Amino acid sequence: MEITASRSWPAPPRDSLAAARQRWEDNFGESRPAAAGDSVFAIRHELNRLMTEKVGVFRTGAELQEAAGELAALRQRYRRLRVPGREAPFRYDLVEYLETGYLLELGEIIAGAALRRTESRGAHYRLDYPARDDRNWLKHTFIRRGEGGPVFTSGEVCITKHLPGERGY
Amino acid sequence: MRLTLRVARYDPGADVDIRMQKYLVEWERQETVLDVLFKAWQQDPTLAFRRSCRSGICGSCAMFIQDGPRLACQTLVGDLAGDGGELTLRPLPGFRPLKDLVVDLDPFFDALKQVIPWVLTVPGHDGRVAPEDSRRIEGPATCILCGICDAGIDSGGNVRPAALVKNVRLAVDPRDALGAQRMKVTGLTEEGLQTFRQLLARICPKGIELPAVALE
Ligand code: SF4
Ligand code: FES
Repeated sequence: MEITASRSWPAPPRDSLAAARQRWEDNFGESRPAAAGDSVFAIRHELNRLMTEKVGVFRTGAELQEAAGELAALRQRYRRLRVPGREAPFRYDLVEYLETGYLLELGEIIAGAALRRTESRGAHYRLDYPARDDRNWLKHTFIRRGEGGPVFTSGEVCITKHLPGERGY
Repeated sequence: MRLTLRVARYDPGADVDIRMQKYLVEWERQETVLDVLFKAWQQDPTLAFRRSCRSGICGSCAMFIQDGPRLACQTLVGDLAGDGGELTLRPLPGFRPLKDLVVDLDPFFDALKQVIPWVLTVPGHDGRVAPEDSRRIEGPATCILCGICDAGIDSGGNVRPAALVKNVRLAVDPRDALGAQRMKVTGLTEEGLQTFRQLLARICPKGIELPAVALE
């Protein structure tokens, strides 16, 4: 069975490692201004609420579009935060900072993939596209990290023995 | 409602000893000690304490709360303090503090290794366990390795409390080749084991009741 066929991972952008390192080093330490009155706790809390309210199981294109805008704003705020600078054991504030950065990326991935998929399938229920649409969306979503955020592409589903179909119950 | 949290701070790079720091926090009736600790952390993000599940299943948040070792996520503030009251949090006693409320768990897990903490399968056993046996295993198998028994009570024998619980769990397992022989290493008498059983039932956050086990 060739479930995964011969798909290979796309090569990472050549400069991405260097860029990631630079971003990390620029961010680390006390030299950057702290965003007055803002905190990683506030950003994470707002992210939680946003994802629950607008990117839950039941979603609409309009809400997802709004969510994408709000996620971008949260990311802007996150970028202005001062990173807890000292790397030392049990720096849970640093862990919180790092986790929140990854959660923001995941939020963008989930909202972006849900916005593209103009159909309903499993736990992805688009109130504006309530029907399953195998003609256009019997597809995998592939996501990779681009310089300006996640990049989405689609890939064929490899079907072997069991034909996919709508649930009959 | 308001509450003064008195929290043990200790930075191994700067402090010789633990010092107590006060945090004034707001709290509500249904909140746990972990909930208010999160609020203190948001006031002072350098405060270190372990937690993960927030639901009494990972065993990370054990600490000395007010007058005894407890799980922060399973202890209601309202059970220990009132409006305007005080709540004192310290690292688990009997463990070496590493930072603030975080302690060194290595000796705890080393003590566990002493009892070979896994099933040494009887050769050829088909793996099936009768319901009565399964019920006997169930109590001690509920252990979440939080360390509260080690911090609060004595086993009265050669192995530390949590290791003893694990040992009993394996000693009553029909799949285990050592079985009841495992109890030899504990050096406990029937009486000593009974005392431990009662102390454990009182302190363990999972309310573990040890089954009867033969001491060969
Ligand atoms: S027996 Fe109870 S108190 Fe002891 S480590 Fe296990 S769960 Fe914690
Ligand atoms: S946070 Fe897991 S037991 Fe308390």
